[in-house]
Amino acid sequence: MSRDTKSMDRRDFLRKSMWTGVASYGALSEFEAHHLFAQGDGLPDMVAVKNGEPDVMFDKAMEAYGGMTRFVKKGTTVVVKPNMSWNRPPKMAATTNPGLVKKVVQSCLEAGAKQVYVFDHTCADWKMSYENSGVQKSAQQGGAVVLPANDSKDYVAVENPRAQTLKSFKIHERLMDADVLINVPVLKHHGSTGMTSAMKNLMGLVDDRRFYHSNGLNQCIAEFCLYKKPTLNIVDAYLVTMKNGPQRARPEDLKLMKYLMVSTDIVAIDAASAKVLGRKPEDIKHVQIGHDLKVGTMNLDALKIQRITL
Amino acid sequence: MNVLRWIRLVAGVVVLAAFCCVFVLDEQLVGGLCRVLPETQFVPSLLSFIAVSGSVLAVSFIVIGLATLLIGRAYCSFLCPLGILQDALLRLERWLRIRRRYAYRKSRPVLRYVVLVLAGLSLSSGFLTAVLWLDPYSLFGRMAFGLLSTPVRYLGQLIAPTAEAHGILVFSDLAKGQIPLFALIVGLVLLLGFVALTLLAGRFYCTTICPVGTLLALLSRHSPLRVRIDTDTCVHCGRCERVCRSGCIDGKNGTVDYDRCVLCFDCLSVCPKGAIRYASRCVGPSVTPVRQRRKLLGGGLALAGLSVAPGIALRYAGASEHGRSPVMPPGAVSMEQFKTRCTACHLCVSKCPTDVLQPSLIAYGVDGMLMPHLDFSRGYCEFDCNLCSQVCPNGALAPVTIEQKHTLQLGTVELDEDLCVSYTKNQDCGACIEHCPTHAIYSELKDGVHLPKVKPEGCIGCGACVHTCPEKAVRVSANMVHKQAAVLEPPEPLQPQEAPKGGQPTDEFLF
Repeated sequence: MSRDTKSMDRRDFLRKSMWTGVASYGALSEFEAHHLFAQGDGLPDMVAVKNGEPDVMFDKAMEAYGGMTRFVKKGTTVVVKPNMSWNRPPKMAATTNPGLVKKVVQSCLEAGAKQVYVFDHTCADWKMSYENSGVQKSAQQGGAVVLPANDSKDYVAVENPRAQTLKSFKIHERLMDADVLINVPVLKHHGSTGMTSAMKNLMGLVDDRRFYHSNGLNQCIAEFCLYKKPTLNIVDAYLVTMKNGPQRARPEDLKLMKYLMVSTDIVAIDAASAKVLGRKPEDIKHVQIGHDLKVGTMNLDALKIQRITL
Repeated sequence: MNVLRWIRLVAGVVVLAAFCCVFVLDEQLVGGLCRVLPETQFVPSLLSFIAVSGSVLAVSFIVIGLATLLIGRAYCSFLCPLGILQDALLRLERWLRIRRRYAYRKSRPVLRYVVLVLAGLSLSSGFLTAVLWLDPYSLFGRMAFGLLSTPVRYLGQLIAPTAEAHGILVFSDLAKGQIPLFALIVGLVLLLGFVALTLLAGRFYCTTICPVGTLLALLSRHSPLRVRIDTDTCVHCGRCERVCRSGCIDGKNGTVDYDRCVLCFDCLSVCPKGAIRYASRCVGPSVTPVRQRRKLLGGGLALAGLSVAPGIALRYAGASEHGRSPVMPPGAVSMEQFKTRCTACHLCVSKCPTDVLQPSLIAYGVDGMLMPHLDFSRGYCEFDCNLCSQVCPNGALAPVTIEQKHTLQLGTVELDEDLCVSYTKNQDCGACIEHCPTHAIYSELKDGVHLPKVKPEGCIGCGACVHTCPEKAVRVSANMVHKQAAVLEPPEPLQPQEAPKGGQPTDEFLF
């Protein structure tokens, strides 16, 4: 472990002690209370697995996290949101691992889901991105219905009263009737936000991406979660774009990390993602804003994390 | 009912349907047909031959010429989509009882040869305007794409949801994007023109205006197989004259001006005496060839020269004062070459997956009206796509490989810092940075904000940044001659971060 990481750990330790103090004082936010006490059944807040293949790590993680039936009930409609935003082959890991997406879809159906939808408002041409990322095919093989999401007509306007900037926007209509949203991002370096993982991935559910860009990208990314938080986040950090993200990475910019995280806390999973990327969570602006807005916590030490090495 | 007429009808339906599919359906649906069928046409194959495109189909025009020498102008009724379209319009007019009868019209050799010479000069001088407006294939293409793409896209939207539920997304693509309004208007104007023309004079365009028709007429003059009237059995009832859409049968005299005959074979089936036959044996006099060709040719040449000259002058005048040139599709090579090869058939436009290729109005000058250009308000030129250069039947877009495309510079980026939110509002945006496929736009960190910077030498002019920019702060300045873009090294990471480590991951967790 490098000296940098050590000093970071010390800082984190201090912050953790501070948090524990605050917590013991009984001044916990509603959110933190949820994390510390609501899951009295002994389940962790986050499960992190490493050194396995994506689908194997996913199975291990879900096993430790109470199984998919905890999130997907019989007869429900599920939206699985991978990242398939770029016209890049799976080996460049600019998009979510296709095998993982297939596994997630299958797992939802096995848990009794009535219907699983998979879509993404892509950055590049949607059809090429869907096909060449390999995600469309694998999701369909898993039993999902893959939908295009680049047409404004498929979006409906919603209000986001708690937000300052992203007060109203348009969201994909299938999300309106869905019972469960499962967010399956791929972790990458990102040229405009420093990192893309769980929170940034939700940008593919809205119609007007340009609004985000011209009105404060990080603020909007975080504020989306005030409107809707995924039921479950599954971060694919198997092959990670360490620089030149989100789509121009060369093979030498990729690093085989072999991580996979699952959590219901989108800020926490992004904080963990930042660390995998070699960044501090507070340096990723939308993670910090998400934390400040109490969408979740980036204080990983305050959470019960189950770490599994395969 | 005559067998030959039946064959003509079936062939017409099949060919017309195939051409319509080629111009409106997704490349995945029509497959190789969109690469093959257009190049079977006379003018595209001739242009492709001149461009030395290396395509086997570039000899189509020679095959058509040879066939015409033997059997007459079958091309005009069996293979030319514009000819078949007019046949369809005539049928419609007959069903609607608007027009049912035709009469013999005298040939108009002056007009015909002037147009032919004009087209020939246009082709040889490289000043393609006349061909662009006269080539039957290109006229048809504009109509097919303009008129059909809109309804087909609507239809796609109807089918799409059902298809999507069954895992088929190909119809969803037909529903994409905006309606190509300009193309629709162009198609509508042309169609109205042809409706009027067919109403007034049947296949007047083919027999009198079309330069391909006139050229094939010259060849068909000596064809052994032709429509002939047996004067011995003919009772001069005039039925054949009344059904002749080319107006080339003189029922009174029992003669056929066969160089205008497009072999529709309608006359064969209406003759009560069986006196009309498509045969190689001479059964009677049926010819009235025009014998003033030389005089006409001279006059035509002079006229054509006169009409081309001001156009050329206009073109060069226009070229010098061009403030903003259109961004040309990949494979166009240079403005000069592109304008000598493109006839604006809009096949590339119809196949563009991102809709960035659109017909222009006068971006290429009045002489290059309707030629395709990249309209970044509609889309961007996908880094890993070369479809337009693959389908062009004229060789106007030389085939470009994906590899070549990655460094083919169509234009260069310009950033207006006064409009960019990262400069004006001091906030992260980065839309252009993340969409740029070549590092020609990169970010520099200043006071915690990722500011976009440009390196135009590495720009390929794909317009991904222009299309995505929320503030219209970036634009692409077109290259008059496509160039080779510099391959840029990615900039160093902005924030200090742990260097990517290779090898096996450790057992320790990073958090």
